[in-house]
Amino acid sequence: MRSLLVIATMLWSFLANAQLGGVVVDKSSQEVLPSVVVIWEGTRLGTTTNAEGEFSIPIHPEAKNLVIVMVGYVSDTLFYKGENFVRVELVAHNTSTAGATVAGDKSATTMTMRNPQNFQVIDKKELCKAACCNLSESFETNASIDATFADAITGTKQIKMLGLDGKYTQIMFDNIPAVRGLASTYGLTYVPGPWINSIYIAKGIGSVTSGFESMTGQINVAHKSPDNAEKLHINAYSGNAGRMELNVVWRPSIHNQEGVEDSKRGSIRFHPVFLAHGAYSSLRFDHNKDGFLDNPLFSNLLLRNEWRMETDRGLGGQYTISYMHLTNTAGKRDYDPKDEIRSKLWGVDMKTDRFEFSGKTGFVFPEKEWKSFGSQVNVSWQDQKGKYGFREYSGQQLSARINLLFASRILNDNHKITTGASYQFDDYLERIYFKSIPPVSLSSQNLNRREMVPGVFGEYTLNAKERFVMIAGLRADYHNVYKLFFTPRLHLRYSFNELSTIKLVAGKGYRTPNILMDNVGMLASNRDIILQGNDPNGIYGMKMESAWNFGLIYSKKFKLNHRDGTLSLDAYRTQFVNQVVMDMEQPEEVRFYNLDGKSYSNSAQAEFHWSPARRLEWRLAYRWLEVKTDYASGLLDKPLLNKHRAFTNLAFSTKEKSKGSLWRFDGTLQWVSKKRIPYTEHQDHDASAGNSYSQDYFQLNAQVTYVIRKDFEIYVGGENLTNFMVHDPIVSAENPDSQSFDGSLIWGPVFGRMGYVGLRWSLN
Amino acid sequence: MFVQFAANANSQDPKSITTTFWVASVCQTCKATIEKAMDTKGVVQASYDLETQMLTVIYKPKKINEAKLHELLNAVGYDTAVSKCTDEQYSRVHHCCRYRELEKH
Repeated sequence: MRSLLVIATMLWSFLANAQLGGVVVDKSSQEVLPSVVVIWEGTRLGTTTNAEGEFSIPIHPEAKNLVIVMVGYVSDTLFYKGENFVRVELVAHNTSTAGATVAGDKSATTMTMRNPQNFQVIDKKELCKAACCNLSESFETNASIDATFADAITGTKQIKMLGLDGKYTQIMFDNIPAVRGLASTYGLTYVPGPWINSIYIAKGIGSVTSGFESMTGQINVAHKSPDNAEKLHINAYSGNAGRMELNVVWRPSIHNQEGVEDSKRGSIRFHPVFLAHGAYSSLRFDHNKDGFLDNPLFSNLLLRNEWRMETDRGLGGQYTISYMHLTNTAGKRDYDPKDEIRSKLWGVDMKTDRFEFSGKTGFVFPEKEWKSFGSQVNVSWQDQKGKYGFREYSGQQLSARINLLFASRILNDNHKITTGASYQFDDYLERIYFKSIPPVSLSSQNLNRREMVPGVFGEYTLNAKERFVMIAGLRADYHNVYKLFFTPRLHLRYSFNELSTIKLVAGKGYRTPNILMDNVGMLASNRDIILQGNDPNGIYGMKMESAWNFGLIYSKKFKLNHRDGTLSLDAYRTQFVNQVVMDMEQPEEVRFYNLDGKSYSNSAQAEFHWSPARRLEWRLAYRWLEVKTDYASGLLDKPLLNKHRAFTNLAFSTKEKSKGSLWRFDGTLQWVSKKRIPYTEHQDHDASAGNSYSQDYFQLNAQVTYVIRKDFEIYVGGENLTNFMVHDPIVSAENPDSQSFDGSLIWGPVFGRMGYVGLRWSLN
Repeated sequence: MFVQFAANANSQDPKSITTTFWVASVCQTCKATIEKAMDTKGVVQASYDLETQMLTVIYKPKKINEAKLHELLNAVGYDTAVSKCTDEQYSRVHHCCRYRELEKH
């Protein structure tokens, strides 16, 4: 008995002297974190990390849980298993509660297995594979998103998900809904590629916490922020289409502002980042000899400034202001809006100004990391003026949105709830009138409208042993025009093992129609715009658009020839309850009416990703679509949409030399199947005259990058190397005064082979 | 199915050998450095397990031998089960990866 006591005492003293060493680092940057509090749970035995992020703490005989706490980071608890060294990776707080944090992935595009939503992440590495002048051009190596031209004249790109227009996809900037209202098509050009840190793509219905608007998917663009931006990054680009660009990212480092320090209140720190983008194009090209410019002429200036606030007491925030000024001129080769005679030619002249403020403030309850409160405030004003041939358009939108979120857990971390309230305000002043052509069907309509939508929502997350996750959400919104409506949504994930996962999504989404700017491509024609809404209370007689979306996703990781690979398969169905149908089936007119009958989209996709050799990545994807709508003339395939699309991407980099120099090669070959083209009476058009389908085509893009040093690289690339182009993209191009003139029936590239060069320099 | 087939085919192939041995490490940065050091002619694939501190290398004996693998790891500053690196080599490891100092705790 005595000897046992002696042994116990000896063991005690041995343990008391034993130390546990460790280092604490930031999970994403892998940088060491000084002044982190490390403490045994339930004791007063604690320490802090030194300047190198290292700590040493005596091992406590009873305490087993080591708590690691750092302001601005999610606290971590380690279960001590007797090791003498631990490495702790802390994840920085995402002040926005919505959205998943994905870090440390090697592959440029990653499917996340854990999130019940079908998430894909495109990071900087993927974005550098192509010139990616702006967001709309960054989806070329993504099978889930089709990027196409909105029309043959203005060069505006639009996206489609699940075969449905981008307006049914909720596009967010840093978790705040953006690219909506007047910006619903052009908004994609408001994010220059070099500003993007990563893009999160979720197919299918989204979370209720970010609104009722997503139907086919969510795209969240994370801008370079004070957390991850380079100290200084300069990107210059020049293409043979006369396009020139300069991008600057600047993150001045502000050290602890001693003046603000107050021992009782804790210090407040602000970290800024400045983003600037200028683009200019003035060369006139008409390769297809149709008398119209192949690419528009433009000059754009975009500025953005973000401040991140940090405090020692769980309060944090991100505040952003941005300003944009964009001008775009397109149309006849010699069109010049400033010249008295040349301004009489058919042309498009657009000018956009936009101001935006957004702020996110989050508070995490001290010692209750699972409990947080967040607010998102966003105010924007946009002024858009445009001349489209004989039509003059002007639109102003003032929007404000506030979203309050409260997140907590029930009993333990396996049950989480997020609940909150939101208020969305949109005020539109829109006008369209005709200069010379008689039909004035739209100018007499009152297009001004004001929408006010308060709403409440709740979301419950069940996490059962990491194997099964369920997110069930419901929101109720009250629209001043469309009254009360409910949005139920459900996401399920089940992992068979670490390698294979099955996911299911189902839910409803809503959207208020915004006819002119949603379908801005139609303005590049002389088609008569006819509104045939039959809802006396609705905005221009239209009902609110609503749809159910269902999806099933299977993904599997595997090893083939010792190398990692991923296979993912998915199938989705979107079924409209109400839809504002755009009908171009009659020549020379475009009609809008409420759906009477069926409208749906079925989609299936297979994607295979594998590394056949060291530093070589191979991707192969195929997607199939069936999108049909009951038009006045019957159930038809959605026009200008390809049923099949397949692409393959190969990326290879050489071995890094001593000073970090290496070569990177990247190539993408894609195949786009034929598209249905609505009937036109005009015989000259490529696809009319009895042949109501376009041809299928192949497109090849390639880029070579030479990294000279870790901080400096140059690149040369080519787009559309197969030189496939639509030779006659505009119907009645020779006669822009006629009613049959139509540049909206675009089904392929307008510009042929194109080369570009650029450089990237960054200081970290 | 085809995944398994490929794996079997390789293990029967006398042209390649799979070996597993201990390499010192601390973190993800170490893992990356170790795997990068194995990016050399003759090595088909190399993966390092941080938890077990074991490195698995598949290599072609005609092009490289096992002693050379240890040499390459020493050259970037990492001790292996059979050979320790010199102090000069050790000084190349990143300051957060100083596995020798950490062992003293």
